[in-house]
Amino acid sequence: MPDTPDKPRAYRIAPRYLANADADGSGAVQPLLDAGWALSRDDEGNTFVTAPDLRARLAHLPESDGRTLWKISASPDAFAPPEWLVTFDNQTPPEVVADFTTALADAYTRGPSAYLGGDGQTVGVDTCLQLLAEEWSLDPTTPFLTYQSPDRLVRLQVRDNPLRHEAQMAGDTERWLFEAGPPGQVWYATASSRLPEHLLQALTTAVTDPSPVQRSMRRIDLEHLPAEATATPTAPTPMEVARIRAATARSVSSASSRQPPPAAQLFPPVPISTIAATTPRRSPP
Amino acid sequence: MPSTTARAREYQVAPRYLAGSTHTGDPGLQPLLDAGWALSRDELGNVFVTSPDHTVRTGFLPKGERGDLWMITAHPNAFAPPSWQVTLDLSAPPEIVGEFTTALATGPDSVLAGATGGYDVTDRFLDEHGWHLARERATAVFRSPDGLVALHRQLGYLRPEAEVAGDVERWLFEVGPPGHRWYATATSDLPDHLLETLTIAVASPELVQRYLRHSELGHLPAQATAVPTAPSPLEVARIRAATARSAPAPRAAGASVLAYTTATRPAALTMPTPAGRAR
Repeated sequence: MPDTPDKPRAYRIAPRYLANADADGSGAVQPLLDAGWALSRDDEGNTFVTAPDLRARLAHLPESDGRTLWKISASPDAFAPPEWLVTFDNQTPPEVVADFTTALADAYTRGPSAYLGGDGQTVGVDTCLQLLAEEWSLDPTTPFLTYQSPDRLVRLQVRDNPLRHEAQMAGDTERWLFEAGPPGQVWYATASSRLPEHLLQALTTAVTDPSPVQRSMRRIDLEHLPAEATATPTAPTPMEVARIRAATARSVSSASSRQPPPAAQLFPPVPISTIAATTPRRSPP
Repeated sequence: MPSTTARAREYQVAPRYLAGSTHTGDPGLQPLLDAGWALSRDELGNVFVTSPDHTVRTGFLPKGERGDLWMITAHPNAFAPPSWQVTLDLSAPPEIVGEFTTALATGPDSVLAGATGGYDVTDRFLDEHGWHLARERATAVFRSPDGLVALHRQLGYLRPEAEVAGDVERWLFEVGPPGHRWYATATSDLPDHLLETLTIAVASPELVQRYLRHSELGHLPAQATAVPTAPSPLEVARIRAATARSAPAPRAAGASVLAYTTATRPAALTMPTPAGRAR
């Protein structure tokens, strides 16, 4: 029997980096708002969140050109160009962004030495050693230094040539490039050279975290999930709810004969075999 | 008898550029707040007002790393270095900053637009406002007729990074006589229309209000004039004393007593006992 109506349903998707980009990005902004940062919007509908001293900021740019949806930076003062820049593209699960903003909000409360790097020359060694310790491998087939996760679904490219700081801040190039997902369904995160090591580690952890996330998905969405992802329903479907209510209604109406309560009128008792046929007409108002 | 009281009194001080600061950023920031821009503070006591898209930023920086400054920048986007930067000493009259920020708040689209170089601006001040031009090595100096406002234009190429860092400045305003001088700067890419707004604001001869104690009056430059706008507390006291003395005089005549017995007041007090509600 086909489970016909294509209504969204809650699933747990694992690993997180294979889940789709949820439309609601507010969870990524909340850690910064909780830390006392201020939110503003431009005329187009882009959102900006900035620290009180304007040294660190986040931009959510649904109305800008290009794939980059999230830009996060920190500067030595309110008027200076950023010291570092982290970006996420528009296919990135917002929970990944939220984990990074949580780490940034925490670093911000600890002061400039925590969220601004020093000279930044040695950043990344610890992060890469950590990846190798977690059985990541070096992929010899790319022109860049590329680390690959054991499941081969997350890659970290490291450019080891000199990069102009201005070009990195403009988003023209980047020191660190994360790619997550199977071919054709890749999302990207980037980080520039002077991102402090602990924030690079927080970013790496956020990108590679395999824990499941909640998604509301229709059948068609499930089919678009990468084959490597698993989707587990977390709540009964509307049909299951109907079945449960129908079962409850039958037991109630047996007690008070012929006067079923309002809930039971919404879902009149019908044999289970006919539920599929009647469901489309009972679409919610 | 010396006018002793050390209480502040309101004066109209002219020209504005000699009036000094008010030790508050309000006149400079208010036009931006009125436009809906957001105010924030750091923990040192610096105050910032930014446009919603973070592309125009104004700082009132009593604890800035580069000294006590007004810092105003405009950026092509929230993450880019400034396209231009304007600074003023905090000892500058904040009303001058307010005229400049008013231009930023009313014309956000033109903040980054328009010709640069400033030649039309300086030509206009030479031709129409009676300024004169002198050369000092690699600098052209444009000076106001009273000699108290000088605008220096650094000639030749300047590295943008050095300009933004404050190591060199394309435009330098030097305002006031020696000992009372304050400075303002602007970088090369400030659009001409904003350079003109800034220059007009700096050199405006208009009056501003200041609350000054007698001792502070003496600290104004000799070229400034200060005219009291309201009677001093002492004068208020004298006026009151004079009024008090004159009031008992008619009462001595006796006839005026009736004139002051306003009948309405007792009537109003007895009013709340109308018949129906008395119970």
